[in-house]
Amino acid sequence: MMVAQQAAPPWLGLLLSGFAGRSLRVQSLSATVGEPRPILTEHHLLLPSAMLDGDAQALARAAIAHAAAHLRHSPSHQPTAGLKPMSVALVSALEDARVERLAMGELRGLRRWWAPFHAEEPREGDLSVGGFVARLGRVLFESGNSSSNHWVDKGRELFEREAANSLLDREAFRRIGAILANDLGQMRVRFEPQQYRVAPAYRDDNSYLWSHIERPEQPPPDEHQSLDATPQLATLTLREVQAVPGGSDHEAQQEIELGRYLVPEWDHRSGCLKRDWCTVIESVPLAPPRALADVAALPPPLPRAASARLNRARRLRRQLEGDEIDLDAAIEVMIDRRLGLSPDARLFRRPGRDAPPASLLLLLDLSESAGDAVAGAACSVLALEQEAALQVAQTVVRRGRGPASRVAVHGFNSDTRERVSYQRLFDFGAPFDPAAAGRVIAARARHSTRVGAALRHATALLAEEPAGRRTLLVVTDGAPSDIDVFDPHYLVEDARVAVLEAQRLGMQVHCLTLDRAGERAARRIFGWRHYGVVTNPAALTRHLRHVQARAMSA
Amino acid sequence: MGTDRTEAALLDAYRVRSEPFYRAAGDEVALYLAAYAHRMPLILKGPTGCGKTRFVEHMAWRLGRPLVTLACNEDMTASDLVGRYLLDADGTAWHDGPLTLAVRYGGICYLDEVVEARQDTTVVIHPLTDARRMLALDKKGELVQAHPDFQLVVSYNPGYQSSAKDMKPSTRQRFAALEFDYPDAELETEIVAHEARIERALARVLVGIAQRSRALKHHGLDEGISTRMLIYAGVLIRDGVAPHASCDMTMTRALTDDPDMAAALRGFVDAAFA
Repeated sequence: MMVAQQAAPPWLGLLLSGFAGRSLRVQSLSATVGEPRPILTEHHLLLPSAMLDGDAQALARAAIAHAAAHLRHSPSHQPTAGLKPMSVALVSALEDARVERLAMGELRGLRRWWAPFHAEEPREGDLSVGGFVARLGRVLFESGNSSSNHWVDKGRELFEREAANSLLDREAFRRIGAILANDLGQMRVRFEPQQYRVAPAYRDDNSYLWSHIERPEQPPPDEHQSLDATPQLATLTLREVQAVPGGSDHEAQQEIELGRYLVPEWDHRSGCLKRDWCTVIESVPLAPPRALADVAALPPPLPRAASARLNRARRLRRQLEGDEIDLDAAIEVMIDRRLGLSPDARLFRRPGRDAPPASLLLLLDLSESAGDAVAGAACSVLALEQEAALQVAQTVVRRGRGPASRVAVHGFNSDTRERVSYQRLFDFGAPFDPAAAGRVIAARARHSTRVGAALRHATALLAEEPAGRRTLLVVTDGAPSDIDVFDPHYLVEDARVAVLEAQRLGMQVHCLTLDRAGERAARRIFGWRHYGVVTNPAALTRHLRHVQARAMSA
Repeated sequence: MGTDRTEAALLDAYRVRSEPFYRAAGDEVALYLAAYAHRMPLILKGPTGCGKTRFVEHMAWRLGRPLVTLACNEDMTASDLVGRYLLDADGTAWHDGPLTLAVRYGGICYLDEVVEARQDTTVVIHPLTDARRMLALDKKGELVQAHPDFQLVVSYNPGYQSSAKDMKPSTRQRFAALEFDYPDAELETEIVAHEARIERALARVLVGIAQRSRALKHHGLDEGISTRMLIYAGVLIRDGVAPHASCDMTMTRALTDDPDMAAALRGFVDAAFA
C-alpha cells in the first residue's frame, strides 16, 4: 500500500507548475515495495520519498521535467481496449521517448537533466521485457546510438523514420509500439507485470496515460485536500466554557485560572477544522518570592532603538523641504540676507504624520525543552526568553512612542488538547513594575508545544487591541509537538492555518526559533520572511529587539 | 511674457526627440489617438515592465507633444505636482510644478504608478479630468485653464498593490482605461530581439523562461518575469556574459528572495539553455 503523505520541497512544485503552465502539486510517496516510480495524475505528481533527499534532487528534477513533458504533449486516460499488457508497456515507452524529444526540442537544457540516468547500460544478459525496453529507451534517447540487438535496431529505425516525419502523430507511434510488442511475443519473451519497471527511474509509471476498463479512473489520492490550497476557515470561535473544577492543588497554588476557552484545530488529513477541539486554560502565574528577589537583577533598559519614532501630530516647522514657506523662518532669512549673514536654509513647513497605534504580543514557548540549559551559557533557554521579553516590554512601556504602542508577554504550553495552558504573564497596558517582571520570571517550563491552539487564543486577544499595526511574535525552541499527536505534520499544518487566520485579520505574525532543526517547521508555519533562526541564544535579545523595532515602526 | 517663454522652453526639454520603439499588440494606438482627439484622461493598466511607459512615450512622439513623466510615491504631496513658493533674492517666487507646466503649455502629463501617491494628493487632478479642465493653484490664488493640447495619463498596476492602496472610485471614474499585458510569445520575441539586439532564437528561449515564470504568479510571485527583464538579460548575453549568469542576475535575483522560488526559476533557466 502506498500513501501520499508529506509535501515535497516547495520548489519542485513551482518547477512543475511553471513547466506545465498550470497549478500542480508535488507530494512525497512513501512506498513499502520495491523500486517505486513517480505517479502522475491530473493535479499531482507523487515522487518516491527517496527522490526527495538532498542528494537525489537531480533525479527529482528529471522526474519533474518528464512529467511536465507528458502534461504538455500526452493525452491522458487513453483506453487500453484491444491492447495486451506488453503492448501497453511498449506504447508507453515510445510515448516517453516521443514527449522527451518534443520537450528537448523546446528546452535545450533538458538533455543534460536526463542524460545521466540513461548512461548506465542495461545488463547484457537481461532478456526480460524490461531489459529490452530499457535498451530501446536508451538508443532512442541518444539518437546516434546503435545497438547489437536486431529488435532494438528495428525499434529505433521505425521510431526515427516516424520522428523525421513528425513527432506529433501519436497514432503512428502507437502502431510502432504494437508491432514491437508483437515481435517480442514472437521471440517468446514473457511479460511479467510484477517485475516490469519503467526505466530510467525518473520516468513515471505511465498510469497517467491509460484508463483501464476494469479499473475505473481513480480519484487523485487526496482530492479533498487539493480542492483548495487554503482551507475554508470557520470564523474564529472563542467560546468561554464553564470552569471545570480540577487541576491539582499543587498547580493551583502557583497560578490563578482566568477562564477556559474552546478553540478549533485544523486537521490536514481530513481537510477540516475540528470545532471546539482544544481547551485553552488562561491563567496568571503567581510570582513566588524567589522571582521577586531576581527582579532586583533586572537588566538595564535598552538604549533607544534607532527606529523609534516621535509622535508628530503637529506641523513641522523649519524643514529643508516642505509644501509651504515657514513665515517666521522666511523673515529671519530676509533679515540675515540684509545683514550679510548666511541664512538658514530650513524655511519650509510640512505636516507631521501621526504614527498609527502599534501593539506587540510576545508569545513564549514554555514547553519542557525550554528548561534545557543553553550550550555555552550558564542558564536555560527559558531564562533567556524571559530576559529578552522583559527587555522588550520595558523598552516599549518606558520609552515607547507614548500611548500608541502597547506590548504584552504571554506564554503557553500544552498537555494534550484538553489542557493548553496559556499564561498572561504581562498584559497590554500594564505598568512595568517589579510585580509584572516577577510574573514573567515566574513562568516555568513544562509539557509540550501545541502552538496552533495558543496562536488562535493569542490572535483573539490581539484582535481586541486598537486597530493599527498588530504583531504577534512567537519565540520557540523547536517544532510543535504534543503527547497525543503522532503525525509530525499535524500540528505544523494546524499552526500554519492558525497563522493564516491571524494574517487574514491583518496581523503580522513572526517567529524566532532557537533551534536550527525547527527551521523547516517554522518556515512552513510562518512563511518565508516571517521567521528567524537564532542559533546563538545569547543573541536572542538583539534579534527580538530588531523584530520589535521593525514591527512598531510604520 | 518673458518668463512664459522661458518656461515654455523648459517644457521643451520634455519633448521626445526620436521615435521610441513600440510594437503594438492590438489596437491600442488607434484607441489612444481617438481618446487624445478629445483629450480624454487615460488609465494604462498592466503588470510591471510590459511596456506602458514606452507606449506613452511613443504616443507623445507620434503626437509631437512634450511628455512630463512623474513617478508617484507615498511621500509625494500636492505641492510636488502643482508647484510651490521658494525664496529668492527679491522675496518669494512661485515655481510651477511639473503638472502645472504640462497644463499651462500643453504637454502630456504621465503619472506613473499613480496609486502609490496618497489619495489626498491625487484629488488635485480632479478638476483637470472633467469638463472644467482647469487646475487650481490655491497657494498662489491662480486658476490655470488647461492648454488645448494638455492630456493626463496615469498608469496603475492592478497586480501587486495591496488592497489598502487603490484608486478612489471618484478618481477612477474620470478616466478611460487601456489594459496592457505581456505580449504574446511571437511578438514578445520580436520585441526582445529588437531591443536587446540579439538573435530571434535566443529571444525565443528567453521568452519561454518568462512564460514559465508567469505561470507561478499566484504561487508566491507577485509578478512574473517582465519583458524589460528579458531585454536586460538579452543585452548582457549579447555582451558576452554567460546565459546562466545573466539570467540569474537580471531575472532570478531581481525577482525573488525566496530560495524555493529562486530554485524553480533557476530550473527554468537551466532547462532552457543547452
